[in-house]
Amino acid sequence: MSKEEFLGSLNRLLKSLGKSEREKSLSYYNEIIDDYMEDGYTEEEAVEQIGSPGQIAQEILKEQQTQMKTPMSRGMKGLIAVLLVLGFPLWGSLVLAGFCLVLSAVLLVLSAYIVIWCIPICTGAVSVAGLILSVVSMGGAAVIIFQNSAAGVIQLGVGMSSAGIFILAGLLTWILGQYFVKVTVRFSKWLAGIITGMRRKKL
Amino acid sequence: MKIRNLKKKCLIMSAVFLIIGSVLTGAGWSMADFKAENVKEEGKPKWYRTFYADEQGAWIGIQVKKGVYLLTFGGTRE
Repeated sequence: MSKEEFLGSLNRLLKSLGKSEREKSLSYYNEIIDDYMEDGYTEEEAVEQIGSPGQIAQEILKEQQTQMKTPMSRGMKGLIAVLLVLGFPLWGSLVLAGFCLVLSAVLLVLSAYIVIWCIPICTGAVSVAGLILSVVSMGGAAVIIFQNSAAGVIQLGVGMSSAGIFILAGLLTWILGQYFVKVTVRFSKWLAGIITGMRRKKL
Repeated sequence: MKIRNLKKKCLIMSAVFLIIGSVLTGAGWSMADFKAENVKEEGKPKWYRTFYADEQGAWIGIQVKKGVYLLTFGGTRE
């Protein structure tokens, strides 16, 4: 393996490292190869003396990891704690503002859903009220008609009208329900599109 | 059953019920000589009575007991 091939291979294997760290390692091994060549080795022999690029890259990466895992000194920890406490008015308010922003967005979405479903829920409630009123009215009219015929006939009329309202409001609820399911699905898709678009932009 | 037919049938049925109901209410009201006192509830309030009329006006609803209503249209009694 030539020096250029060796360094190229090492460069590729150390891609996870920072640029400066990588260049430091490459120049170090470049110098070692040069030293071997000055001592009378051929280029291939010098590269052989160092070892395979995979092995060397593995060692470098391992070393880098142990350096990163070095525990923080007590002084540093204390300094960070003091900075965190002193900076609380700043970062605390920012966190709170962010939380409020997220909460208001969630509530806004929730209120949009409530507004969308308000109309079919109202017609549904009218339908249920009509059903209850018609059943009670028609059943009660059978008793009341013997006590006060005029009131009984009126109540029977109220019961019939309530039955009509129940059917009409029920039909309206069904039609509006179907329509608002479509609107909700479309709205949810639009919302999901916005969120995924924002994520893609971030990436 | 086709949905369009069902819608049509529902509309016709509700219209029939509303018309018959209105006619019956009108007929009952005329039987009472258009006077609220003739259809006034007497004695204890009954939960199965849904039409009320007095000097204060008329309203429709279910009164479970005095002051407790299940549903009302057109106001409640004091």
